[in-house]
Amino acid sequence: MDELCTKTASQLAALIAAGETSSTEVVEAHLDRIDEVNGHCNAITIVLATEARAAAAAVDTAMAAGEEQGPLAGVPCTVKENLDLAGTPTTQGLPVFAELVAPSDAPVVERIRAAGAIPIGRTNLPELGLRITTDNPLHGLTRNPWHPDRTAGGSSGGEGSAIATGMSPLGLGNDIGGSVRNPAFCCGISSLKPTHGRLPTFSAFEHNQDPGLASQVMRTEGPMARSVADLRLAMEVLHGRDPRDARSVTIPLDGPEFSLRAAVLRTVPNVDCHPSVVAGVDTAAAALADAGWEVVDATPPEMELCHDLWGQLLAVDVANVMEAARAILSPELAALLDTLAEDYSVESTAPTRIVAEVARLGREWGLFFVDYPVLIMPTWTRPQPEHGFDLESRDDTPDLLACITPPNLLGLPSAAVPVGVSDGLPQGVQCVADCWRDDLALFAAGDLEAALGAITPIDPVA
Amino acid sequence: MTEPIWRRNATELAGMVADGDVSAREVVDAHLARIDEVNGWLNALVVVDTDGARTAADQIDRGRAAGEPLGPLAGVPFTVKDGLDLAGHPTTYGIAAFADNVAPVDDPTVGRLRAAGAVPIGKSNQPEMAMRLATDNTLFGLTRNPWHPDRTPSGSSGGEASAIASGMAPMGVGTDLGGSVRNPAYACGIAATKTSLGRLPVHGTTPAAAEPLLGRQWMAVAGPMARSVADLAAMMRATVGRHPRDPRTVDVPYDGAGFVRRVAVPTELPGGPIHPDAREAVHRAGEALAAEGWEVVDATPPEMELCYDLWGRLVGEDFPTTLHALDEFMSRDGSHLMRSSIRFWPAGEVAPQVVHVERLRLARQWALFLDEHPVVVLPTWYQPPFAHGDDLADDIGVVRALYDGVFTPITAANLLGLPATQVPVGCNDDGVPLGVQFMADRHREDRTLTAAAVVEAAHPPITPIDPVTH
Repeated sequence: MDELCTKTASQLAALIAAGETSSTEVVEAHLDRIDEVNGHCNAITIVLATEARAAAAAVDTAMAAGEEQGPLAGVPCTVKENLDLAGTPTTQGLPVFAELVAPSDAPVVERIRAAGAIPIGRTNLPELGLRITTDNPLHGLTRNPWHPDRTAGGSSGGEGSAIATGMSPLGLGNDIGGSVRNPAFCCGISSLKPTHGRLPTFSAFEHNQDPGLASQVMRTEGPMARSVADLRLAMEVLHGRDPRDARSVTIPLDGPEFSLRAAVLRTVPNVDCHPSVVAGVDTAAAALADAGWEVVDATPPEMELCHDLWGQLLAVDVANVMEAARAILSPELAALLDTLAEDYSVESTAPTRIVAEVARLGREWGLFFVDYPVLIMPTWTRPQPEHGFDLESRDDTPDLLACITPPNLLGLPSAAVPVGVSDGLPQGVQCVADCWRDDLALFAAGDLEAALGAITPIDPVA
Repeated sequence: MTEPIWRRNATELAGMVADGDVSAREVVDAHLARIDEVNGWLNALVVVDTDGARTAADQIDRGRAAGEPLGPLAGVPFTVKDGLDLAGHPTTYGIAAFADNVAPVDDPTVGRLRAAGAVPIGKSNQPEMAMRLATDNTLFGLTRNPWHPDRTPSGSSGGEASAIASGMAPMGVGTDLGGSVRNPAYACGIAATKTSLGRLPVHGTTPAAAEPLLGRQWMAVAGPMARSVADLAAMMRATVGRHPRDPRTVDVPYDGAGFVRRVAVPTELPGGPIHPDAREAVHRAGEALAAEGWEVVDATPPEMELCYDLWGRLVGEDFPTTLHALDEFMSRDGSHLMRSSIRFWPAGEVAPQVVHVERLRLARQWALFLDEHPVVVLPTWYQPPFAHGDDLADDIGVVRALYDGVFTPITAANLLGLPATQVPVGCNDDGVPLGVQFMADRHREDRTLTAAAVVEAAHPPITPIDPVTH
């Protein structure tokens, strides 16, 4: 691997800004890396070689002319295939959308480009982003570089695999049920599910606009990278109001000072966590304690209810779209979604009741965060399962996501960060904070990274 | 001091107390005396906390004498709508069953005003569960409009508006799900801001009120009421921001980015009928802004009638549950609006998911409109304030016509979580206050209040007044 592919996005931006390397060299190194490992990983679906080279040359020319550059000038990035990137299709992993070329960029793509980043490829996802593994009838299976038979996670699994192998230093995904955190955990990288409302969402395609209630209140875009500093830098250029997303708000990233006190969840209520997961949380707790944090064992309020309400709310959306969507989905995904809708079968008036409960839970968790500014808890409750496990049996999936879904339900920021390797597979935790305290989630994740180190990029294990 | 203390605005009083021109105790006593004088007729305040207010005022005066720093609203009396918790006093919602429902702690917004040095002096009347366009209930009775004995002060924050318009308090806090701070401010000739969703924290300790249903969560907010625009801004600065008791709240800075002085002043208004006074009010506002160099554009914001309908759909989903829980405690008059709304917007007639999707689409249409036009002026109501009891008509067609005249311009701000500031723009030839509302993008109260201040300068406040009793 070229040394440039081992650098973080922030490091690359600094090297380019200092003239120690050119954007062209950086882009070429990443294109070479894609050539080298993407055949195995199948993470990147479209390589934007021509466009990226042109953009890199433009950055280098501007740099030579002494023009002011954005904070990510010349740095390659990748974009999940359900976000609009002008000139490429927004496939959502569906054959029917294979030629659906976006006329314009999604707001987050627009902003990351404005910061100087250069899209170098599109990345794979499951159909409609509605699985926690990454495979689809359009592009096929994405592999986890750590193990050929284990899932890369999903739905932003292409991002996870590409970033973990050095094909890209920085990516854009989204998360309604862990979709930036699941693959970060599986592939051993970092990601942030931001506070709901920090990053604007918009698509030029009408069928992607104005989704149902669950998506409106639980889904957000989010950055993925190998370093926490990159997530922070990405948030600085991505966050804030865009009138095309009426939910988006501009709130300073840095909140008031806080005390270094973390709640640690070592025992998830009514879930048998795998020993390697518990060991990961223990590692994180010890690292924070060494870094000067007061670490307290504490359980946030009513996690099981949060998880259940997440399922109910999602089921409302799924039930509403299934009739129209069935024709364009694979039978496997349709069956999975039917099961979800059945499992949580809810009355049509459920939203009114659920949202009232969410307000109460939001307050309970808000008060919890007054006592403990940061919560450390498992990402997945057991190690990376094999490909396709989610289609074979849904029995285990709810437990697996027990810690993933509360931040979606309540809009909380959650940073996923690796904390080590066990039996050849990454271990990771989430750092969760109160709404709008993305700065705290990232600060704690940064302390963990400083103590425990990054575990990627790696060469894929075949 | 030529002008009586009770005629002064909140920010004037705060300045006078800070400068030592008057003591907090004198300010409080002047307002207590004014309450004695006019509340018997108006029945606006249902709790007057004489001892508590004097104790708080004395503490401020002692603190000032000791050189302690004063809050930005130190010594300024304020009143609180019954339905918002004020520690140590009952939150009755205008319902006898809750007459002894004493709040253990302040509502967060009330607490922030207190922390800014403001002195709670009383609680104000509202209709049962704040669910009427007038202010009357079986527990405390009818609140009057100081402008006319037969005309409603409107509601639901009618006690606030009547008290502030008559000089019993310079400022107060109300709530707004369907105009409830703007309606009475309009009818009583004062100023009020329906805040953006998430600006001011609200949380009641009464179990029945603690967990609002979806419509209320998305659309009901607290809002400042006062006689001057500067006072609204001062209240906003003291109360905005995240509070753990209200997970909807956000720390968006009060002052947003600078903006182009461009205002949409629509001549075409959807729905109706529209009274000439409503058009005259908008005309006055447009003229005042143009005179100060604002670019005035004739443009109508998107799909106002659909906004009104979706607002009805959302409350129509909530009301059956609310009525089921509270019907036995409410009078027939008190539940008239909820029952009427259930007839106009029956739950399930439009599928909830369609309402949710359409709301997001309209929010984007409005956000894009407000990106192009940083401020829009609308009539607060299409019709003049009505007589006591007109909202209780038996004829459902009459009720609907009354609602359309009120809610068509009012409800978009609630549905979409946008700020809306009502200010008076003088009176008509018969002495009836005219009012307009300024709307802006979410969290841009700085825009609505900037525009309102320009119009206020051309059409100065018309209150406080002595109550007209015949």
